[in-house]
Amino acid sequence: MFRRLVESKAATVALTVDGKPVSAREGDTVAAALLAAGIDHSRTTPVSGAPRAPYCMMGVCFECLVSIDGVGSRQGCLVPVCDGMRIETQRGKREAGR
Amino acid sequence: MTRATTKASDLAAAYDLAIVGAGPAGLAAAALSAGAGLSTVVFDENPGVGGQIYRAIATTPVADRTVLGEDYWAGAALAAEAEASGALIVTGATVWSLDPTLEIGVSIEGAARMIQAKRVIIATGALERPFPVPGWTLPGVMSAGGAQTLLKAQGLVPLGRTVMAGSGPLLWLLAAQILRAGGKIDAILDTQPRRNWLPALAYAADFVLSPYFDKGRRLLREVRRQVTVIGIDWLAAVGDDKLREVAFGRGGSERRLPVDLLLLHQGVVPNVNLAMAVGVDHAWDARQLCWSPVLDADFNSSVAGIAVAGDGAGIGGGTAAAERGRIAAIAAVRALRPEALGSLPSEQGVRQSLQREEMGRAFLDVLNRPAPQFRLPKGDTIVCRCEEVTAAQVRDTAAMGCEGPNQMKAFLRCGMGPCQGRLCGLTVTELIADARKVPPAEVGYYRLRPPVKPITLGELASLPISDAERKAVER
Amino acid sequence: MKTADVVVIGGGIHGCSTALHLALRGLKTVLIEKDYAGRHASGVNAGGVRQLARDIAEIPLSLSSMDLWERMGDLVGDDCGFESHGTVLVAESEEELAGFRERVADLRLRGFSHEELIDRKELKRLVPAVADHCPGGVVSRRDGAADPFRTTQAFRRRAVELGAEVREGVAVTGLTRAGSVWRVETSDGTIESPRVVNAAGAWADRIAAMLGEPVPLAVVAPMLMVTSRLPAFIKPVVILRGRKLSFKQLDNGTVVIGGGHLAAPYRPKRDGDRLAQARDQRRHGVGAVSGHARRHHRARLGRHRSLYAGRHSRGRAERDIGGSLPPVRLLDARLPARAGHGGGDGRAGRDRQDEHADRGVEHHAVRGPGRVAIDAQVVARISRMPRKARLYPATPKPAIMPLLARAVSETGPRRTGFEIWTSMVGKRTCEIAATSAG
Repeated sequence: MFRRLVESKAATVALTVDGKPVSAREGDTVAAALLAAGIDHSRTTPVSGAPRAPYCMMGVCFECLVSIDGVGSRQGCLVPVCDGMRIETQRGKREAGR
Repeated sequence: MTRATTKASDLAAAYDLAIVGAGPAGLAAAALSAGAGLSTVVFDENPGVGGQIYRAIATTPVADRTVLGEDYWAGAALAAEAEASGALIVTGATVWSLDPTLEIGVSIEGAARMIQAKRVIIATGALERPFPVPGWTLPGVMSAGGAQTLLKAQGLVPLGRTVMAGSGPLLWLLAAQILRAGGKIDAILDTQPRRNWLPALAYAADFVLSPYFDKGRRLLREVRRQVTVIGIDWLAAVGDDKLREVAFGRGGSERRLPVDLLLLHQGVVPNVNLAMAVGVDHAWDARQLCWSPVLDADFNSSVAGIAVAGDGAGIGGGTAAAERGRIAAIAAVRALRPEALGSLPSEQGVRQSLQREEMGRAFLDVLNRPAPQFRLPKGDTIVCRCEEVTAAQVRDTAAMGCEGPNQMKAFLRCGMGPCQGRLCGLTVTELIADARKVPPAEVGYYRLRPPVKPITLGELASLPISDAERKAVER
Repeated sequence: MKTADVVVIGGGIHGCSTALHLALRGLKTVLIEKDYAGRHASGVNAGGVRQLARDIAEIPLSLSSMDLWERMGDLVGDDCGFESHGTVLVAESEEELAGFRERVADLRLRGFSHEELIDRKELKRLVPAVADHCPGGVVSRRDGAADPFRTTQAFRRRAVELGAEVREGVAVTGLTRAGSVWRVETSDGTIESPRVVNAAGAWADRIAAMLGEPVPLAVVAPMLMVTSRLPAFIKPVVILRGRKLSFKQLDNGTVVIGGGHLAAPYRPKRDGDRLAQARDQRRHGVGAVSGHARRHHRARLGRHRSLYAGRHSRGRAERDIGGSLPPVRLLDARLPARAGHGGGDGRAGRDRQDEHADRGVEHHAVRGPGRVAIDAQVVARISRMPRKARLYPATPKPAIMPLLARAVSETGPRRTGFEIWTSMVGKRTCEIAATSAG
């Protein structure tokens, strides 16, 4: 859906998304990294399980909710990536402890 | 430029002026206020300053200035001035609570703090008007603003088959920016109703004299030269678990285009959640079709000590936002440190500048007024994205006699998801107004309260509570 | 001139249930509601259906209410979302548990067995998420929660089906005696009736004042928080004595947390006036809690002895989670001025920490100021309603949220990573399948 505009001088950042390695760039937000990597959806809804992808990229739509390093319901568009981050798509309801 | 990250524990207990939002209004206000010697803090939940219009102004990977345009780069000076002013600018800070005593609840990296301010400027800006068409929740459909953020902040450009749909200056600006960046747009589906031209002409004189006229004309020409523009009066995103096609037409016609990315936009509206939660009076703006705070000439709201500046005060654009921020900051200085007024820019000058910036808005507002079918969806079209409530459900409940959005929550949970009505509130208000045949002003809006952004129980539990505070809430 | 056998003022659960039972007995009833049924406390409360931790005087009514709840479908044609997994009162220390033990023993002596002392093991079994330091508690197994708005609407609907007239959006503007009847002036005409029931909740004092009998009324605005949806992890309703806390998880996964912490209340005259509400809100801002406390005074029995169809408990008994119950009086203009017999039950004049003249269910008639006779038992019989009484509140104090959050995190789910995103003052959540909240 998206490609990088310039050969960015920004450093590569190594993430895992649902266990699979994904390469991002410094300066990406988690949501941007997912979209740049062509990942289909960031979460499935707690009401019907429908897949959703980031929509507004500015923190108001809450479609980009993902689990980051074990903590759920993080708005991916507000969190800058860092090396080694573990990202998981959020399936349905957030667990009470995560 | 990297900023030393401020932690929640680094915050002082109190500041003279607290500004929520580091967009143009917030940055301009901060620079002026700190320059006048007020202890000033700015909170913004995004990773950097600039708000939306100047998104990633300090860090954008898009080095070629012609791509984003000079209007964008004007933000660099604002950001630099604020950074140099001595104001404490805290990014990654979410303000989840503000109350009439001007106590602010803020959360940084999962740690919450309460701080006290003598005055507050809410500069949380605007967000895009909801664009509820069938299939708008499918992965592959995004707001134009979202795509613009990806471009500005990460240098990402649409790849594959891309269609843009809607109306309003931001749509055309983004189209130009994408094209300048070497991206391709398969089509722009123009939803601007032709019949808006007639009432818009009443404001044409001001518009022609304003900076918008020339800029707008050139932009439209630039885009139309390179992209097919199709006038439509309906559209739908089609797909199963993700977007496959966009269907559209005018009148009875129907066309389909296979598409990977559909970008929707039909204007921006004030982001009212924090202001409404603290009790700022709002009124329905029938021209801009949104709720705007009721403000005086200094942008003071109905809650003492709280001003609302920038697009949150009513849509006016980035440059106007900066001027509004300055006026609100001048008022704060007048209240807290009047002896410093002499060193500030002339208030009259700022107001004149604001007036010039606001010229031409009326024309744009009327011209770009979204057609009713794009504000009043039907059938299975989702209205409340969070709780997956459809237009049919909202209409049926209104027909049953449901009087307003708050009563509707009781029936449908509509508006009770994490976005707290940001993406459905206007649609619900207008749908109920349409069903009851009363003006939206009478229907009202969701009753909003803190926390205006989700906060974990654990974080809340970590906040200190004094005995006096505990006693005040117990019988 | 419109007439009725009874005019009921107020469309909350008290009013709607009164109207229903009157209609069941064939009485021509008109209910006047200034907004819509369930708009205020009755529609937005925590939804607890609770026998646990009641003041002794309330227990008989509470027990017979529970019978009603278990057959709610028969009465109103809707189970109102009632789900019964018990209410558990959690002790946080051995002293607390000892106090509970005494209480349960006392209840047994009085013939009540609905409260059961439980040990650590049983507590953990009922509430697996409870913190380790809690040694036990008390359970009332028939208890549960229902959907308050749905309940109020169900009573309203059934009352109308049985012939009651419910007039919403109509406010009572005056109440005067006209010979042998009461003349009820409203914003939409006048009704005459020999009997009037004041079920106006947080506005009941204003109705009473129309008769020249101002009743001191505490307007209480408890606050609630609602979390995001979570996978199911808690079944019973959990309450505490040692701190102000209660919480429950609904079918939709959200957890509703309350406990009686106060927000600043306001009582708009009518819904429509938004600006006035906002102005009122500012006037009654943060300082209003103490302001309202000052307004109350300890009333002595005698002139203002009134009857309440329920009570809220004070003193040794657990403080009711929520506000004071509104007075429900049967004003019968036909009875002679000195009818009924006075006297108290020993509680007369008792001066506890009351801020106002709340009295228990007094099973005898009480003489008012010469004008009315009130038969408690009649009222108790005709208003066999579930116990709800949450007053419509307003501006929350953010300070409350940390208190509640700490309380939950220390006693309850030890994992506190889930989020609050709706702070509701007496608001309610529901889904289409409608389970209670709020």
